[in-house]
Formats: sequence, structure tokens, C-alpha cells
Amino acid sequence: MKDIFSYRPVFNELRVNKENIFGAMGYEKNTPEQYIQITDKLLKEAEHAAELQAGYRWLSPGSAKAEHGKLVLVDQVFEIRKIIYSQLHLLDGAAVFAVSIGSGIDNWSRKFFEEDEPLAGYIADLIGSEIAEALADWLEAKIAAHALELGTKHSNRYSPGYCDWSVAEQHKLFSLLPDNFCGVRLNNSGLMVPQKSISGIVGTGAKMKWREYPCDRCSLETCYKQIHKSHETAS
Amino acid sequence: MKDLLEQLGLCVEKGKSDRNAAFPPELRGMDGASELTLKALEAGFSANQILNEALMPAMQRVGDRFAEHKAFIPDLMIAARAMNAAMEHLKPFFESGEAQHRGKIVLGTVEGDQHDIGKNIVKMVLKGEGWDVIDLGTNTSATEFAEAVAEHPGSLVGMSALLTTTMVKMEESLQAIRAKIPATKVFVGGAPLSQAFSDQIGADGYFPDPHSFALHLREIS
Ligand code: B12
Repeated sequence: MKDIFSYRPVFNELRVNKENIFGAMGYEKNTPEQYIQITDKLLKEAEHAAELQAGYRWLSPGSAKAEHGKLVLVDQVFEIRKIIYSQLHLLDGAAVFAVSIGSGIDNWSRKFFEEDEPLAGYIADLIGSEIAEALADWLEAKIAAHALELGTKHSNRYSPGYCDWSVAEQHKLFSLLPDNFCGVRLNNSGLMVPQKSISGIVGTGAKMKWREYPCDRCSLETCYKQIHKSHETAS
Repeated sequence: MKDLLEQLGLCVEKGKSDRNAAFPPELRGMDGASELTLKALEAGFSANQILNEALMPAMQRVGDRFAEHKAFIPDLMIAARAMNAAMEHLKPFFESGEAQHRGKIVLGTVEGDQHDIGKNIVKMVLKGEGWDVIDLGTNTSATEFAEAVAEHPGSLVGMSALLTTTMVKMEESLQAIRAKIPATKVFVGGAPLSQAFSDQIGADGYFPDPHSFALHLREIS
């Protein structure tokens, strides 16, 4: 049975949210006109620099289980720790995924820096990050549709490096995917190349529920989701 | 005459690097930091005076707003760029020893890591502050860091990383650097870093952004 699904969506299928880009700059509101103009201009060009690839491996019931605080996918045992375990312990299947927007945007951003246009370089980089997130959302919707089609349910997506799940587990995750899947390679440190790539898993099964990330139960102060939280409570 | 320095300061603060810069709209078509610096030199101001009475106070104002969360990274960047445009004209005076440079700093993203952008922003801001930045790029090995400090005696070091799995390379690099030149001050930064990690590996400090880092460097230089 086919278990590997990969796609090359076109740019217009993604929901790139400009507000997220301004938010990443620091502006929750009142973004200066100058930055809005550059962002608009670069967003139009970004379409040509991005090379979108996204895909997942579908693990059917029986090849995924969670027990004793660990997640077992095929022959790999993941130390997902408490937070993610609490969200996934009732799964019976999973989708292991990767998305990448290629290195075009990185090169484009670097070129701006070399040409003494650092602001454009910085904004191009932020745009790349937002496109990568939008691509992961796009893929999550595909996985959700797949689950629905089979009459099952799915969880939110979880990535190594978040919610106390170590980035070092990237190696195990990628061992479940074909080589060079979606153009992504892992280096020894578990860093994905191209830079603008995201990996993770979605739990599936009749008892799965999509829930918001449980940031209130995590203590990682450097996590940006926490940083947003502290801003919210402060204001 | 004073107006000239004031206007120059305003240009730096607002990020208007030259006449062609379209922003801010209220300064459109007017001289920018580059032209005004030349005019200030022609008018007889010394390089040090221009630096200390116009450029540095302007950077200070942007920095203060940044610290109060009223200005953000892009504002620091455009100010630093305008500052650099002005510094281009002052460089000859610094090189001849007529005015003071702050010193050298070696910057690099650690081995196994390709994240460039954070380090590049730090580089820009420090250049704007008058530091001579030696940029080793990304994927910098411990040996490369050590060789760079040996080549540039007295330089400080700033290391950057994106992930917890790459930041661990900082300890190795720090040891290689200290093995060459024990007194070298080494600072760390990047998304997963913290003061606790800096203490743990024996670095001289963690800074979350280029502004707080630049302020600290001003204090110790
Ligand atoms: C945008 C982003 C992404 C983007 C782009 C990443 C990229 N490399 O371009 C995308 C969505 C693709 C992504 C993917 C991933 N990400 Co991410 N990402 C972020 C985010 C939100 C911002 C990073 C960023 O680019 N900021 C903007 C730049 C300008 O900031 P900066 O590099 O931090 O630099 C600033 C300061 O740190 C400082 N600084 C930097 N260097 C230095 C040096 C010195 C000496 C000093 C003083 C200061 C200093 O000054 C700079 C300017 O202010 C951070 C969280 C956060 N808020 O930081 C997570 C974060 C970096 N990501 C994280 C993770 C885990 C991942 C993934 C592994 C997730 C996954 N499994 O897919 C992947 C890894 C990608 C890869 N290539 O391997 C973690 C890393 C922590 C960890 N556990 O290791 C973070 C910290 C989120 C978290 N959990 O809190 N990510």
C-alpha cells in the first residue's frame, strides 16, 4: 500500500499572513509604512524564489503506539516527554512529515546583505520563515483530509525542538523518511538543510483531538511561544 | 552650524542614509547621513566631534527606544546602515589615528549551523557602533575561531547558534580560543541561548539582542 505522499504546491495555495511577518519584526500594530511597503514588494518576488515541497509518510494503525512516556513509530522509539505524550498517548497511527521552501529565499536574502540592503535581506528572511510555516499548515490540512477520508481523526502537529522534545531526535525522525525527502538533508547536528524546513509528526486515530499547544505546561523560557505568552500577560 | 550636526543625527536616527533614500517621507529629497557628514567635515568639524556629538547620540536614541520596546530590529538596522554610510567618510581619520576605533570583534555561527541572519544583524549594529568586525561566516569550526583570535590579537569574540544541538559546539570553540589566547572575552547569542548556558560553559555573557550587547561592549571597552 502506498504510504509516502509528496507534493509541490503552488504559492497561491498557501495562506501567507503578513501580520505574522510584522509580528516577527516586533510590531503587533502600527507597523511603519516603510516596512509595509518593502514587505509587500518582496512578498510578490518571494513567489519566484520559493521552491515548495511537502510530504509525509502515513503510518497506519498498528505501526504507531505510545506507551510509558515514549512514542514508537515503526522501529524507532522517540522520547517525546510529558507534554507531547499527553497529547498523543491515545494515537494508533501517525503521519511523519517534512516541508521545505528550498534554499532560493536564503540565497535571495543573503544577496541583499551583500548588496548593502540589509533591511530587505532581513525582511526576505522573515518572509521565508512565514512561507515555511504556511507550507506546514498546508500540509497539516492535507494530512487532516487524509485522516477524514479514512474515517479517523488527527492531532495538532509536533516538531522535535518544541514542547520539550529534543532536536537531537531529528535523526530518528528522518530515518523513517526516504533519503533527501522533499529536498531536505540532515547534518550531524540535526540541522535541516535547506534552512527553511520544518519536520514533525501528527498523531492519528479515533481518539485523537486537535488541541492548541499546551504552553502553560512548558517551562522553556527561550521558546518564542512562551515569549508571546509573557507579552500577553504583561499587557 | 550646530544645525548641521543635529540634522545629521536626525538622519541616522531615522535611517536616512543618503539623499536617494525615500524614507522617512518628511526628509524626502533632502541630504542624508552620507552627504551631511561630508558637509560637516567641510565645515571644519573633526571626525571625533561628528562621531560623538551627532552619530553616537543618534544611535543612543534609537537604542533607548529599542530598550523601551518602542523601536525594533528593523529600526536598529536602518539606523546602523545610515551610521555606516556616515562612517565611510570618517574612516580615513580613524585609520590615520586621528580618531579612535573601538576595537576588533570576531563573529561567527558555530560548526554544524548555517543560521546567518542573527549574526549578520549583530554585525551591522556593531559596525555602526564603530567596531571592526571580522566575520567568519557560518559553520565556523573551533580551529577557525582560535586562528582568527590569534591573527587579530586583542579581539573579542561573539558566537551565534540556532539550535540546542549546535550551541553545544560553543564550549569546544571557547576552549580552543582560550587555549590560544586565555584572556579572550567570548560572548554568546542566538534563539536557544541563555545566561545559564553562558555561565555553564564559562563564556563572558549572553545577550538576547544586538543593542544590549553593544551597550555592554561600550562599558568594557
Ligand atoms: C523563524 C524560526 C524558524 C523558521 C526559520 C529558521 C531559519 N533558520 O531560518 C522555520 C519555520 C523554518 C524554523 C524551523 C525550525 N525551527 Co525554528 N524558530 C524560528 C524562530 C521563531 C525565530 C528564529 C529567527 O530567525 N529569528 C530572527 C533572527 C534575526 O533572530 P536570531 O537568529 O535569534 O538572532 C537575534 C538574537 O538571537 C541575537 N543574536 C544572534 N546571534 C547572536 C550572537 C551574539 C554574540 C549575540 C550577543 C546576539 C546574537 O541577535 C539577533 C538579532 O536580534 C525561533 C524562536 C525565536 N523566537 O527565536 C525558532 C527556533 C529557533 N526554532 C526552533 C526549532 C526547534 C526549529 C526546528 C528544529 C523545528 C522542526 N523540527 O522543524 C526547525 C529547524 C530548521 C532547520 N533548518 O533545521 C527552536 C530551537 C531551540 C531548540 N530546541 O533547539 C526555536 C528557538 C523555537 C523554540 N523551540 O523556542 N524555525
